[in-house]
Amino acid sequence: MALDKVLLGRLLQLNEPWTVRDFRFDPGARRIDAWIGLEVQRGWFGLARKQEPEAAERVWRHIDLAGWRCHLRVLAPPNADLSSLPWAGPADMPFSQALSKQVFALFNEGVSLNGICAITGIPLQELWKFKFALDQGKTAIAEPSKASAAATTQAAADPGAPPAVASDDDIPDVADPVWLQLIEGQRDIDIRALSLKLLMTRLRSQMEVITDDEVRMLKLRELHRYFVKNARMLGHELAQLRTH
Amino acid sequence: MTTQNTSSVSGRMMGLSEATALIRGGGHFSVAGDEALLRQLPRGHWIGGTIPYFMGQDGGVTTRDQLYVAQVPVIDGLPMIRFYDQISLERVCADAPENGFSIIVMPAFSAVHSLFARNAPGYEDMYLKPLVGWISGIHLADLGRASPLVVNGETLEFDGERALVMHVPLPENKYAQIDIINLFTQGEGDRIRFPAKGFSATECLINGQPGNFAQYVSSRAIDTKLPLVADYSGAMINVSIKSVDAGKGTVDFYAPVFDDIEYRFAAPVPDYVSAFHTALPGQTGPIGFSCNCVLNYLYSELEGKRVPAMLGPMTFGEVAYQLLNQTLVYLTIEG
Repeated sequence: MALDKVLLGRLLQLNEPWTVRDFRFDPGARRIDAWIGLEVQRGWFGLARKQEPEAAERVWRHIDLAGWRCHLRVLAPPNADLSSLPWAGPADMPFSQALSKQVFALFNEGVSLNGICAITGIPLQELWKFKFALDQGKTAIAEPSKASAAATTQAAADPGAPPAVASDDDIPDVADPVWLQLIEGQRDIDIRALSLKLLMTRLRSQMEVITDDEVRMLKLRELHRYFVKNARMLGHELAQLRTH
Repeated sequence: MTTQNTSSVSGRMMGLSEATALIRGGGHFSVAGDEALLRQLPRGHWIGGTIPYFMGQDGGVTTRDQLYVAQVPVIDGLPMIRFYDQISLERVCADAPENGFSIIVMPAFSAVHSLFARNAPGYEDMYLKPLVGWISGIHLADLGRASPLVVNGETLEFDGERALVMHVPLPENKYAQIDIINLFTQGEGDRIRFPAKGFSATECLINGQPGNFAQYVSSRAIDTKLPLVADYSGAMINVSIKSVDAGKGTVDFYAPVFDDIEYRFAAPVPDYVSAFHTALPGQTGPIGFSCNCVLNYLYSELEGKRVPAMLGPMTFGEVAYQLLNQTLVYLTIEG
């Protein structure tokens, strides 16, 4: 059993001082629950040292292990910084950071919520909660080391970035700076389409609170996707974008 | 100013026998009327909701003896009618056809009504696919005795808790466009923000200063027939006042206020009918759906007054993507 805990810890990429304290397999549901906490430090003569107090258990859905749904139950000291640990997540979110990145990548590929549910087996309600947090700027995807750079600006200027594919001759490429100017309110156009008025207001409001670069990029793609899908009724608006 | 003739309007008021014959003749319809009349209609491809207030071809009318029946433009592919409950409601736009539109009817005061009002702006594919519709209601004299309902004509199921939607596909050479006519604009008064979204408010920021909204409304003797108006990139979006309880310090609304937008009370509209004619759009494609708000009907005393270009039920709430108040909503088919 001890060996199994070590093996599971390696599969989960736990590093010291974190360890798998216990786990449970449910073959019927193809589900693994693993309890993670700090290793109990052994002092001289094998006596356990006094442990730090632990906060309430927090549970995150993690990336599947060989097709088994993986739920991690983490007992950590109240002030422990879990932000850099891929198997942990924000306190009020359902997913570990690793799973959040996986889901976010699917969002970016334009996979629908139902599609993501089908691929990952995540219940729609949990996915909805995650998407809502993204929209509200309450969760982040970018790694801290990357956060300083403006991803949206990079996308427009980085020569090393893969070439963006123009979806329509009339619509500026998603990497065109005009989208960032629009969504940040640096550039205003006269809007006739009701749907664009409502969408633009919502996106601009979200951009004011979203600081994570990748989430901001997601919002920018959302605006671009709207233009691609509704190009036929946006002649007035697109004419203004082409003259920028 | 351009006026449309009524031939471009898809619906009109009619009696039970005429509506029955229309439905039996085939086609897809959106129907509004009193519950007793709706229960006598035959099975067919229609969706309906309860309401006794209308803008008909002969003017504003309150009636339990006539129905408003609008033919839904079905050009290519068959529409799909389905109910949405609290769990599935967030799929309403995602389920819509890639090219087409959806008509939604929700019972007033139901959980789906409240849920949609608060969360629709965040639904998947919201604003990408046209969603139009209305909130069914009851005669105000029946408050406490009757419940707003929706009805699926294909099964004759009546429901007071679920939303009913007709998803209508369109051919590639056509597209649907939704627009609104809102006669209210932001007045010159104070700028108001709310700390949280919801159907009621206590605290607010008035020109950046914290205050109690009910006391503010009462102390200024603000005419609560005038809605709060928010400017959504040029679209004026209303939130109507339902009640003010100065004692409890609470104001209730007919649609939720949101925490990320600024509101002002509307400027007065002295003559609704003439202002409406001025605001009518220029040339549009055929109108596939329209409705207006019962508060406009009541506050502007539209009974007996003719506003012929845009007919339809006078409802307990209008949907043009999200829930609106005191606004005329219409959908046209373009291309």
